[in-house]
Amino acid sequence: MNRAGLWVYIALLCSAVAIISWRLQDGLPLDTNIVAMLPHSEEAEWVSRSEAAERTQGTDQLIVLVGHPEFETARSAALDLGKTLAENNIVNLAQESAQLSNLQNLTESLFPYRTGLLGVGDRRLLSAGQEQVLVNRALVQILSPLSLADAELIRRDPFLLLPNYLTASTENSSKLLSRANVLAVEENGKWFVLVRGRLVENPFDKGFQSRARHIFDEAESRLQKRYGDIQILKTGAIFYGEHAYRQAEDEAGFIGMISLIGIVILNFLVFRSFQPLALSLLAIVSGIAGGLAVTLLFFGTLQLLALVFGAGLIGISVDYAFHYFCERFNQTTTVPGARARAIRSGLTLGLVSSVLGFVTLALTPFPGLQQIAVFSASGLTLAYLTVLYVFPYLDRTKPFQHGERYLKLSMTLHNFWWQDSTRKWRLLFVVLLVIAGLFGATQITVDDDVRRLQSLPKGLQAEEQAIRHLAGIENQTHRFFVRGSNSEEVLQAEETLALDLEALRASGVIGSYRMISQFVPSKSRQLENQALVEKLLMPKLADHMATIGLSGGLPYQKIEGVLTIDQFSKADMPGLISHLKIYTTPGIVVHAVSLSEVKDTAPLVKLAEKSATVALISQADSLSKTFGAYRLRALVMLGIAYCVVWVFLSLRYGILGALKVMMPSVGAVALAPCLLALIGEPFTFFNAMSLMLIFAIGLDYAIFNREAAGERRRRAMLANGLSTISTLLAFGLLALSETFAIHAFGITILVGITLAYILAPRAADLEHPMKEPL
Amino acid sequence: MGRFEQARYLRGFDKPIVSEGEFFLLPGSALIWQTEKPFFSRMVIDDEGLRQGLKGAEVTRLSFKQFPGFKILRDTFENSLSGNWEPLEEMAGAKLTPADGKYSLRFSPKASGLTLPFAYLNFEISDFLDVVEIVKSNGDRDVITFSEQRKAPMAEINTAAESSKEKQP
Repeated sequence: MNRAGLWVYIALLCSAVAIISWRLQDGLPLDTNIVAMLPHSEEAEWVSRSEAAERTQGTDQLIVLVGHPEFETARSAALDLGKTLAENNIVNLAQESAQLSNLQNLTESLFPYRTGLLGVGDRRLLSAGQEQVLVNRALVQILSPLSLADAELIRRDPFLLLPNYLTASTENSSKLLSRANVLAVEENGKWFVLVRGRLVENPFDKGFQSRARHIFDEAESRLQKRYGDIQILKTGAIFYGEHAYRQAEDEAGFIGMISLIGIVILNFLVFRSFQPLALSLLAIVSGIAGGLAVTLLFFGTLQLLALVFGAGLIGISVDYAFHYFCERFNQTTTVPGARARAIRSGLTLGLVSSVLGFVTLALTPFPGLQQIAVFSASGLTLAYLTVLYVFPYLDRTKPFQHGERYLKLSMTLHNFWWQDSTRKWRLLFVVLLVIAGLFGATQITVDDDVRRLQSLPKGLQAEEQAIRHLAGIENQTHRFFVRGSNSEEVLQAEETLALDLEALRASGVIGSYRMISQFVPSKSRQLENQALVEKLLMPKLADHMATIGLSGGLPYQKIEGVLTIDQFSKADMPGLISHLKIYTTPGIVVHAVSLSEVKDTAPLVKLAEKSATVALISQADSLSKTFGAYRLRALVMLGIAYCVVWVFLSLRYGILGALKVMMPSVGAVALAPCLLALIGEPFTFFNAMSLMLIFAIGLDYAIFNREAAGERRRRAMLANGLSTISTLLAFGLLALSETFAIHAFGITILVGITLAYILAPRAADLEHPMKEPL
Repeated sequence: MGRFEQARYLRGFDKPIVSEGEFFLLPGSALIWQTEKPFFSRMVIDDEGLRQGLKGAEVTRLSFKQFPGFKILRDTFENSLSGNWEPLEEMAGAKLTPADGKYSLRFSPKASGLTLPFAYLNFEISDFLDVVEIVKSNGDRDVITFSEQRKAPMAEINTAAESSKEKQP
């Protein structure tokens, strides 16, 4: 059995190493996008698909404004930066296409369709029979000294239908203006020139992030040297992702180092030998290799949080090693195999309970949770095999001759729970704990606000705000998704929605809105417009031409067909409609309708409820809702995990006995959030997830207390104590993290594991000790 | 404030489109351009943009945010009408040239690295701005001739601008 176990371990480890080497050929595929951890939203599927498509669209952009008091300097520096980024394969610049996409180009593309393109106001006037207003307006505009219209335009469109249509459509668009083939804006005596591009690779790929950041920083300092005092404002998901990764890396490095130093000191202090340390490291490395390999095999990439959580596996892998080496304090046997046998029951029951818990967790449709579950379950299994089947082969040492002091000390907690002399103190402690727990329960505040969960760096946020302000891009909090089976259906749905939105705009509920149908009306709307123009304006054409002195052929030739989105897209200017086209697949077309200055969401919710093909999207709200839903789901899964483990443990301890063994873990899981509430910590999805770890480790502690009897109990208690310290070192230190999610993990583990350790001795049964090993 | 006569020469059109009327310059706040012939209309250009009204109803509203190039044209108008030549000389990169007891200045935005909706402006100046010629790159041109110009306190201009509204038939 031992030899078979060893071979299984070797085979699994070799496979793990092979998988890791295969997957890591191009670097660690670490995903720092916290949003990617989220499950597919519970909204209708078309909405979640559209959201995903929109996120991808948004995250692969890189936007930079290069500022200098001299336009030419800002322009040269911007072109220089763009060239560097493009040549180094960081972005495909939008500039080349921007050159062509100017207003004139757009005008040319739309010109043939001008009689079908009417703004809302013009359409209303014609429908109301006030066509003379449009004729007079054209005259006023032609006479104006600041006229937009030149001879060519007036000759082809004497009613100036198209310029007025474009003016109405492009209202409130970006403040950037086209100048010398770049887009620029002037503010407070400084020119800012836009550099905009689509990232060549995945913005959440760590390798690409580092390369992009390196090249960007180098280019920035080169530009500073060459052009003097230039200001560079940048934004894009890649910068946020890179910052998150660097922060996590720094923290993981710092926390990992402290954790490692702590574990080394603990080993030397207690075992006074190198060997336990070396073998513990083997268990850790095997555990992490197993976790990493299986996760990469199943998921392809590794979530940042799964890595942080997985790195914390060190704590549990070392727990197993502690139990093994504490058996060396047993003076009665010198056989290493006997040490493994002594802990096998507890270790196996602990592992199976943990794995059952993690498997339950993996059943949630939450990619992040699934990765953590898979990482932990597979990692623990390999660490378990290392301790039981590899340690005995490598361990050729005699029992420790020291340690009586530690063994005695480790029984303090056990004695507190079981000796008659401490009965009163025990009671007092339990009463205090219950009161604190109950009071804390009334103080729990739930927080699912996604903005808190992603700690965004202030510097980058300030740059983003500055760019938004300069370019006149509003921070849009809400928008609609409109669905149809083809473009025409969506455009018609937009036009219906526009009627309600106009009313909301008039009443001040929203500032403005933008939809594709404002640029490209539906086919039916264009045909209606053509008919209106033909019937009401054309009879006035001859008089109008005479008034302005225009002779020659009739300017409005009858055209076949209408303007389509594709035709418009070819001439689209940056920021007009491309970001509103969300999702197109055979049978489903989704457009976005952007809203600005939303004052009240209730009327918008009502609007969305009126139609199944319209959905109101609020980025923050929808993510927060998802976080909230999955916080609850994590708690439900935890309940289910306890039930599964109860059934499993009942096989060994009986129904009531199993319940008793589970009580310390249940107590720690229930009390931790309550005690945290007392110090003002909110309860978030991430706190709920960390309860899963307390569940597993708490069960381990209790099971070892239940399985150990007689002299062995002292060694189990010592191992539990060492495990607690190492777990607190590995996890509790995460409480120091600046990433909110990681901090939440850490602080919950800190309180929960301490509670689990303190309560664990109650799982012992002095009257019915376990005599038969598994 | 004063009067203007504008002749718009559109390339290929039979005749120039001629208009005339009054203008009121409220320095730093607005320029009111009131056309009386061939029909009555009123244009107000302020810091935000341009509004054109016909028979009391607004028919056009352009924001300088949408058409930033026009802001420069507006500023040029305001500076030249108020005799504030320094910024124009700076923008044109040239000084006023004396000729026949008058001065002239040509401003070409392209030479100044600007992309604006005209090729160049010609100014003829005596005590006030007499004539401005706006030449577009396609050959269209506007010739605006000013007359009866006078300076007055802001309040008086305001009152005059208000009372001229009454002229509307």
